[in-house]
Amino acid sequence: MAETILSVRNLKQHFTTGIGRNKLVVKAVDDVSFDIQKGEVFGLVGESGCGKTTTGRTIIKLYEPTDGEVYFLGERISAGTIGLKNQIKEEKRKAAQTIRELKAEMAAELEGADASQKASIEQTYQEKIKAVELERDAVVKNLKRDIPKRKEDTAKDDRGVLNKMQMIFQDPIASLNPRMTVKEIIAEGLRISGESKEKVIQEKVNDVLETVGLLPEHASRYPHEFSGGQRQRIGIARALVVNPEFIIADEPISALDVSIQAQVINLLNDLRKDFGITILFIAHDLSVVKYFADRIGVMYYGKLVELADKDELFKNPLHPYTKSLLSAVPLPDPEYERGRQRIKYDPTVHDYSSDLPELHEIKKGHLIYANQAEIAAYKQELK
Amino acid sequence: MPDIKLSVKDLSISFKTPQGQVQAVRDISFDLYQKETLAIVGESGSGKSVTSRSIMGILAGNATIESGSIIYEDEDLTKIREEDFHKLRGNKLGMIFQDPLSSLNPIMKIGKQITEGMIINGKHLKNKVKAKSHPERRKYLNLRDALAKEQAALKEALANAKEEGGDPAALKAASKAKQAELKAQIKQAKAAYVAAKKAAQAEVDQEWADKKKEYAGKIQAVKEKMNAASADQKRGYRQEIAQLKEELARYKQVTKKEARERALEVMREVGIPEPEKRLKQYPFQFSGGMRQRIVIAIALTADPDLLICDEPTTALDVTIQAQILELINRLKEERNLTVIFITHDLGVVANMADRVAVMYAGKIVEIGTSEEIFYDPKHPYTWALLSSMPDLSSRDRLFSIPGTPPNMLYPPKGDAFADRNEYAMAIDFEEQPPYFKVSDTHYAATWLLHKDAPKVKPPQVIQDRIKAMKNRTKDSTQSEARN
Ligand SMILES: Nc1ncnc2c1ncn2[C@@H]1O[C@H](COP(=O)(O)OP(=O)(O)OP(=O)(O)O)[C@@H](O)[C@H]1O
Ligand SMILES: Nc1ncnc2c1ncn2[C@@H]1O[C@H](COP(=O)(O)OP(=O)(O)OP(=O)(O)O)[C@@H](O)[C@H]1O
Ligand SMILES: [Mg+2]
Ligand SMILES: [Mg+2]
Repeated sequence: MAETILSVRNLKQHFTTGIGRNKLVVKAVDDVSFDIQKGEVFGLVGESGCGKTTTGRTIIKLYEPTDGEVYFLGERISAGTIGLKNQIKEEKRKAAQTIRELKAEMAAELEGADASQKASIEQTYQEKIKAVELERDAVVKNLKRDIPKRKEDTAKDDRGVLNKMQMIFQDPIASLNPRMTVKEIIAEGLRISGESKEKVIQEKVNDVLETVGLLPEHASRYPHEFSGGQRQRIGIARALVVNPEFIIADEPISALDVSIQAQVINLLNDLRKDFGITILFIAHDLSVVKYFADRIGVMYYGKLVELADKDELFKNPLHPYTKSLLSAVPLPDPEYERGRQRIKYDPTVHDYSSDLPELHEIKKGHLIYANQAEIAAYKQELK
Repeated sequence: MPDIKLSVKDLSISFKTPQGQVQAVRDISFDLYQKETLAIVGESGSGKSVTSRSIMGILAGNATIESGSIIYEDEDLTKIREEDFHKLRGNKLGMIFQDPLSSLNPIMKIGKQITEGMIINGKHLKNKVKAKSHPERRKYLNLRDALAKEQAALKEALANAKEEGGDPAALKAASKAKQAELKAQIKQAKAAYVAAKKAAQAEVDQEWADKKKEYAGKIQAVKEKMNAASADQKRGYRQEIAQLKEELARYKQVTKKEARERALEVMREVGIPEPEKRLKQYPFQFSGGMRQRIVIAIALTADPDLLICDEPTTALDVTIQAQILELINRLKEERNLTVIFITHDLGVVANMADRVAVMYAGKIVEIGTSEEIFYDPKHPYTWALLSSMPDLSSRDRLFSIPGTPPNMLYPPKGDAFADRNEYAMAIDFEEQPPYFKVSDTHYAATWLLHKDAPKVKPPQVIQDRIKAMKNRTKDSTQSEARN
């Protein structure tokens, strides 16, 4: 049985901007759960703006989650409290409602009752109300108990664990300090993790530059002196230099030319084979994801809508968004491209008014976000 | 043969760095035909962005155009003034930049960034005056350039005469005569230009005065109706008046309101949901792909006729990418757009390009139609490029080109790819290959095409893939026939 290295549970990340009429709540990540096994490459794909980067940034603690939990190497490294708080509010509201109903019932009964019965009626209802209150308090206390623990886990900055997780950022320029030389940028992580011998640092920097296909003499230059692709490789070198166990690679290759892409993919593949590095691979080039990932999760508007082994996903895509995504992959063949038909996704095909959707395992390892009616239809399709 | 829209000839560009001159673009030439899409692909750092930035006139400060020309509408873009370039960029040349973050201002709201250019470049009446007097201005400036050239030529001739012996006095006299003639012409041209400008201004002023009068009349008519109207009807009339005033203002220039409407329209066009709210956000509040779409939206508001897209879809998922590509193709049809498309995604190239130029180390090593490059590639670098990318059925280790690209401070003497090329021959290290013609539209710079070179076949992966492509096309036409 493979060992789970990262576990994401009901993760939510909501952004609120603007006020009044201009208020905009973006549910960038909305109740997403998945596990990543040690040594696997988990591909995350989906529409631009669907929350892939936000998922990655929340996992690596650049954001405090709105709700949900993240476990890494068996430790809870962050957990949101807003969901719990809402749950507490809901419990209290439910209890208050029940009590109101009980009181109304009591009043009704009292009206038609003899004076002699009144006391006993009141007595029974008082007891019922008390019971509701007690239950509410117990539930609330239980829920509340986790709040400080969650806050504590989220605030804890356990470098020993967190250093084992690194991120390669989507935006190479924005993530490189323009006033630092390439060497300093790459060495920063080494220094933070306690390396102080200049010679070791120099060696490691040179090694990692070579690994990503740059030259040692590039070390003394500044980021603006590089082409787009070269800058992306500096970001990769920075992540690799501290020997992480888990890498979140946010579109690490989309800015690279194909031969460097091949080099980086081969490199990440080697790191995985030789050191068992686990990778969360966010990308939109589905040919590359198909080649590189073991399992693929498909996101749409903050939700994980489908998750399966890569071959299964390409063979039996079920969610209409997944189908549309696969039909949009351009292939390096002009003749074929001229005839390719794209399937468009219409999000209004789902009727979720009463039959609510959830992530459902329709087949071993193949998860799909759907309601009961859709699941029945998908099962038909799988036959 | 279609018309040539833009012609790049023998262009070389270098950058000054503390280590020396980086020779980023080395002697490249290509023609761009009206309404075509030319894709530029190639190694990272091979000069794709630098080439396109030189067409836009936005090279970095440490860049020098060493030689060559870029001819667009009879003008050499390497020589025109920044002021003119600025205008070209405002309405004829559009560019979508590789890095969406660096081309957006992080502290300015998205809405303002989209509307700003439209407002600045949208002074219709001023633009009209300039356009009307443009031929005279051009003539005047060309003459001034000719004079400067003549003066420089004289200087050079005098210097030569000193070294090689010659008659400086005679040279001087001949040149002075020419210069005097030019000066006289300049004087005339200048007068003509000033007169043309004045006439244009008067004409446009008159036009504006007429328009104002026309609208004043219309507004007056509504006002009169309003005086006799009930309170309820008054509101309607007031709106009508505001509407008329806005129409008049729009005649003069792009108004704020108009710019905003147009911004919302292009944001919808590039698929940004809830654009009214998004207008008020800052770049950091957008996802990578959304920022990219904003950059595209900005380029589209300018209504360009030559659009350079530098990796416009690298940050986008395939469905949005498909939408953007379809959008660019649609605009191409609607607006007769000519497109230069830089990308690393060969699938996108196959989808978009009419022709493909392959760059390596500052040179175009192969150029041809899309079919020629994908089904009959000739340069070993093109082979390497095509074999490095996985397709949906790849399982084996990906091919990656051994070694590193050459240091462009000291570009190699021969074929720059020789060091990394398993097919390299002795001559590849000695002498740069010329272009060999494969067909009227297909050229490649590799000694392998020389008649004395050994006949080599492309690597097995490529042969297999080409075979698979041909089969796939057959299959899909068959299945289409069946459906
Ligand atoms: N301002 C500058 N100063 C010094 N060198 C530069 C500058 N701008 C670009 N270069 C160099 O010029 C060469 C060409 O760069 P360019 O940006 O055109 O590459 P590219 O083909 O667009 O690559 P990519 O695919 O990575 O974007 C590179 O070697 C780069 O390092
Ligand atoms: N700091 C922020 N403040 C407000 N909204 C944000 C912030 N960061 C992201 N968002 C919003 O969250 C949503 C998801 O963004 P995210 O960057 O996670 O998308 P993505 O899936 O990575 O997209 P892409 O493929 O384009 O990179 C978007 O609607 C974005 O506008
Ligand atoms: Mg992203
Ligand atoms: Mg570039």
